[in-house]
Amino acid sequence: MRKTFDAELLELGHELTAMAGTAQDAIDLVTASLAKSGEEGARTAIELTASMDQMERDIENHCMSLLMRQQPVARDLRTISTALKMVTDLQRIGDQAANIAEISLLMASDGTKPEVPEDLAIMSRQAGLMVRQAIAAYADRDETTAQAVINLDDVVDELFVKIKHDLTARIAHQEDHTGRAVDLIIIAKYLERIADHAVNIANWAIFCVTGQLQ
Amino acid sequence: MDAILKTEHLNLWYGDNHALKDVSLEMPGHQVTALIGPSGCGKSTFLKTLDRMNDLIPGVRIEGQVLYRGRNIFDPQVDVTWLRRHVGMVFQKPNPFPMSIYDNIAYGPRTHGVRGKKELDQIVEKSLRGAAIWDEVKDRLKKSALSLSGGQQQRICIARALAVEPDVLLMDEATSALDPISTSKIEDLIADLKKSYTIVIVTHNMQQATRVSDRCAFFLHGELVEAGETEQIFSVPRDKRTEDYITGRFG
Repeated sequence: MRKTFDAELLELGHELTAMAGTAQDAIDLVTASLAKSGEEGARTAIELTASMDQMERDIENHCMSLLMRQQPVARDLRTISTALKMVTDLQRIGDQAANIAEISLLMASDGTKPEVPEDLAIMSRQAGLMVRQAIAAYADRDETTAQAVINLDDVVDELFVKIKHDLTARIAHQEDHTGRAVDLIIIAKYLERIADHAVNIANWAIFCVTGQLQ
Repeated sequence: MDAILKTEHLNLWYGDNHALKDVSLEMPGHQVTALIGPSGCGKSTFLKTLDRMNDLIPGVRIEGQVLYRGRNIFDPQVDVTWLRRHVGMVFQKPNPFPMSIYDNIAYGPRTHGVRGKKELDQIVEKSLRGAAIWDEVKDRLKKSALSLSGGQQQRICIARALAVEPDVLLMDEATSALDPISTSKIEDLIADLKKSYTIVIVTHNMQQATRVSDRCAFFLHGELVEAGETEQIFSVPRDKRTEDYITGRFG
């Protein structure tokens, strides 16, 4: 029975990894679409985030079934209960990525090509990486990687402050001819929230290994 | 945390077999302490030692102390009957005496010199109520205890243990022979009884240990590997061997 249970726990890790991978792909696509002002990337990103709904339900059902059948304790219990918490964070990440995609579509619809700050692309890459790494830390029971994700949050926060500052300056100097600076600030804020969710996941990954919640 | 029962460096040998190795454990009052571990780990030997049920077995040698309310139970001045009156035992298989329900419960008090019918009646009712079986048997107290179901028989045995007004109840896998409904009744009873008694149970059922115990002690190869609050043992055990056992990774 233990062998079957171990295989199921491994499978749960794979499912979460797949969901995190989808989230990262959605984030990458949507940010790329901003710079290109194309609709295709944004629409694909929205489809990807929609597929995360089913993934969330599947993972939740898997967790419930394992709780019922195995009545886990100790690390097994933490592995499953943290999966239930993390899947909610992943779902929120999907929602934020979908929100960014919606704004991107709106921008594309009026034909204006927004001047996307370079830092926004960097921020997006960091946030996507944090999501992937946080789940990898959980799947590999790797406390060091989880801690690295938590540390990366400061970098993302600094980027957000910088982007906000630059875009506010654009508005102040009346350089925002397309009127898109506020939208871009909102996008940056979404990315900053994605990074926060990744930090939550990393904290759960550490709890899963140590039993201590930071 | 006042320990009612406490062992200090307890060692026990069955001939050459070192069955308990330097076990020091405190069992606090009004709490349920669960002894867990694989078969042959020494948990039942430990439980029996608390009631001096194995020190007369040929070849058994005991070192160290078992303190009941500060008194070493191996002290030559300690009378075993006195000890067992204060420290009662309920066994794995319900073992009512082949006599009426009433006489089963009255047996202990009679042995201790209670003779008056009125007093015995009161003790029988109080004990059966205490074991949550009064309503089920009050109209057939003269019937044989052997006519009852397994779960009822086990509660009769608990009532029998309660009749001598013990201080501590030891239970050796008291529900392992029972169906889930009877098990659930006994578990509720344990939760209720700990208000008045100090309880030590041996169980192979990990879920039962998590449900009913306040503290847990994990035994392996005669050693006490880890003891602590049940919630801690089953969420973040300190010793890897404990984690391996409770999550079924052993052997």
